[in-house]
Order: sequence, then C-alpha cells, then structure tokens
Amino acid sequence: MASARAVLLGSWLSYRALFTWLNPLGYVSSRVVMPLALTLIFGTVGRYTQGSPTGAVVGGVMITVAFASIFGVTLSMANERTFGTLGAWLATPQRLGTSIVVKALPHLVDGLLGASWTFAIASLAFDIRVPAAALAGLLACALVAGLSTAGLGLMAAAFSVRFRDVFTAPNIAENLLIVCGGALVPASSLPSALAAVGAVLPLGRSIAAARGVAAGGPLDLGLLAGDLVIGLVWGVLGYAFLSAMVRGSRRSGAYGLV
Amino acid sequence: MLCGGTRLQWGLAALSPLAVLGEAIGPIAYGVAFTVGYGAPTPALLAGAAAAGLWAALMIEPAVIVTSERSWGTLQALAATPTPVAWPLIGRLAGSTLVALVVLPVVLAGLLAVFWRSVPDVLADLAQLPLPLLLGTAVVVLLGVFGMSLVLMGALLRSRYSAGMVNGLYGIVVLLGGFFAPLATLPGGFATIGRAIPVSWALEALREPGGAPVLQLVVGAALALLWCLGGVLLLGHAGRVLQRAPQGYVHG
Repeated sequence: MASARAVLLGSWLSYRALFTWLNPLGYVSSRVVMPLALTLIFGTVGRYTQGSPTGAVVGGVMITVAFASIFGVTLSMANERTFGTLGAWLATPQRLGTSIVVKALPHLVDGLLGASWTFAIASLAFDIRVPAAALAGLLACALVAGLSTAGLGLMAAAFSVRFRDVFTAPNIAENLLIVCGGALVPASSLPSALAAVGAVLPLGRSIAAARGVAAGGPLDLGLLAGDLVIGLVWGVLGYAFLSAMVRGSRRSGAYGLV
Repeated sequence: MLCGGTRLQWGLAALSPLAVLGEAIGPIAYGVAFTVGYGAPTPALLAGAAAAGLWAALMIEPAVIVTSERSWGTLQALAATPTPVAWPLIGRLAGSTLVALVVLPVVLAGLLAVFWRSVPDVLADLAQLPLPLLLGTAVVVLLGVFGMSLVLMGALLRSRYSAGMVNGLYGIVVLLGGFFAPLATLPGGFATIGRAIPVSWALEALREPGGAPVLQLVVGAALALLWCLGGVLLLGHAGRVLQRAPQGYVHG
C-alpha cells in the first residue's frame, strides 16, 4: 500500500513539476487542440483520397497517444536537467527503472484521455459510427500504443538528457512515426523504404489492430504483442543508453553537462 | 529600426546546417505523410508542404522574439525610446521570415527525395502551370503567413506567455488553410472559417488552375494585406499599452 502511494505521489509530483505544458493554455493548445487538428487533417485527407475518413482518424488518434507518451516521458526526464534537479533525482535511493515507470505513468493516462476525446470529437465531425463493442478493443490498442511508444520516448529522453535542445530527439521520433507509422494509409501501402523503417518502430501494429477493430473485426492480439515487443526493445535500448549517461555523469560529477 | 531588427534576427538565427535540418524535418514529415495518401506529389501538395514549413517556423518566432526581448530587459528599454515598440519587433520577424525561406528548399528537396520516382511527373506538371500563377501563389502564401505571424506577435506582446501555448496553432492553420486537402472536403463549417486564411485561396488557385485563379489570388493577396495591417495595428496598440503599464515588460 505504501509502495503504491509512493508511486502515485511520485507520478503526480513529476507530472506537475516537470511537464512544462501543464498550464491551462499550454495544455489545451498542445494536448487538446493540436492532436484534434492533426486528426481532423488526417480524416480530411483520408476522406478525400480513400473515400472514408475512419482509418485515417483511427491513425490520427493513435498518433495522439504516441505523442503524449513520447513528449511526456522525454520532458519528465530531460527537464530534470533543465531545472537543475538531475543530480538530486539520480542520487535518490529509488531505482532508475522504477523512477522511469513512475514518471511515464501519468503521461500514459493523459494520452489515453486525449485519445478518447479526440476520437469522440473527430467521430462527430466525420459522422463515424463505430460499434459500441469495438470501443474496448480500441482502448486496448491505444493502451498498447502508449506503452510501446513510451519505450521510444525513453530512448528520446536518453538523448535529450545529454543534448542541449530537449525537443530535438522527441521531434525526430514524432516525425518518424508520422511518416512511417502508417497513420494515414496502411503500412503495406507505404513506399518500401518507409515501410522498412516503420517495421522497426512501435505504433504501426497498434494502428493496424485498431483499424481492424474499428472496421468491426476482432482484436488482433498478435499485432498488439508485436508492438509491445518492439516497444520493449526500444525501452531496453533507451534504458541502457540512459544508464550509460548516468554512470558517466556520476564519474565526472557533472550532472548538468551537455 | 525595421532593418536593424531584421539584421539582428538574421545574426541570431546562426544558420547552421543542423538548425536548418531541424526546422525542415517537421514539414517534410507532414508533407511525406500526406503525399503518401495521395500516392504522388503534385504542385499543390508541394506548395502546401512549403506553406506548412513557413508556418511552422513563423508560428514559433513571435513567441521567441517577445519572450527573448522580455528576458533580456530590452523591451522596456525600447519602449523608453521615441521609436514605436512595434518596428524593431516587426524587423525581427522579417528576419525570421528570411531565415524560414532558407529552409524552404530543404523542405521541398526532402519531400521530392522520398518520392524521387515522381520528380519527372512533378516537373512536367509544374511546367504546365503559368509562371505568374506560381509566383502569385508564392507571394500570397508568404505574405499571408507573415501577416498571421504579425497578428500572433501582437497578441503575445500583451499576454503572459505559457509554455506550449502556441503549439495548437500549427494544426489549426494547416487544417483550416486547406494546406493538404481542398477546403470543400473539410468537415462541418470549417471551410467557411478557412476562407479567412489567405493561404487557402492561393492553394485553391493552384489546385484548379482552370477555374478563376486570378480572382482567387487577388482575394488571397487582399486578405494577406489585411492580416499584415491588422498585425501592425495590434502591435502598435500593444506597444502603446506597454508604455502605460510598466509591469507588462516583465510578464505581459
């Protein structure tokens, strides 16, 4: 019970203190308006080029979850350096892995909330009807998308902790997912080079599974498992990179070094 | 003061290749993603990607300019001079526009590199379009985006800045401006709102060169000038209000 309380409290404090978009205007602009506008653009282009907005809207909603995960995880770690608390954070007895999970948790929840209202508003705008039974499956796909892209976010965070501009790495990750994630068109329709890059990135399989559910099909657990594995690999690589950064910082005693 | 601001901004930009690439990567990504939906690039899609690149750069710059002047303490010093506050800031924004123009060729090259097989078809399509139409589109897009940036800077000059507060404007303008899809395909009443964005008229002219492109470009240019005028007036008013409210120099 005490551990659960510590985790929740740590998550909440991390979210409040380190997520620089947690102010009313910043939050509405970055976490409500931007994802919604992007999803509406996807839906518009999807409707114009493919005759139906549903697949593109589902892709846009999953991108919403991914952005929340990637930017949330990155900012909650890289801003420790920005605000000069990196040394204090690393000096705590809490294990690095536990600390990372604590920081990522609120952004995963935030991403799911954002995806929910983005999907609701986009469905109203495009008159998309999804079977009620599919909503649970869509939520599961969004959850997997959030978890798998959190792994990619951890890799971006490892770079952001070290490099001067904290937004470079997550922006690159974001743009790679937009291009190669199959958000607008199925991954099989992408040019071969983009599809190849997309195959080693998270999110694409979750989008494919979500599209299948939205079309009335069953939830493809194989696709979701595949995305989780990809995300886990990115997470392990990110953790290893971050650990190496931390060890180097401890040896040199320069936690704010860029 | 206008040219001084422009020179200052050009110098501050420090156009390193990495900085240029960093600016270009977002518009390239969106351009590629939407072009995949269409199957191949078209002149209108290229223009849309270029416009998105310009807006991505000039949406952030007003915030950077205003917050940097505040943090340096130069806003207050500027207001103490006989020069209106607006002109050096407009100069800096003009400098940012010049910097953004450097990024444009990188955006277009990146987009065409991904769809390199379609380059001959794209060039053939471009060759069929009248040069005045292409130039007119470019002018309306540039002026329109600059005008919207001016208005944004005027609003930010009197506002307390919050991190991330302008991020949503990118999606809104790209959506309503019809950067990647015709306005008529927008859901609900968004198409009507989109008519207020100058870029939408320019891109419609390019999408339908057999329609009434001259009229569309004239309307787009007039709207762009209105946005520019509105921005200048807003900046002027904000500057005068600042001079009467000393705390405004610190946090808006």
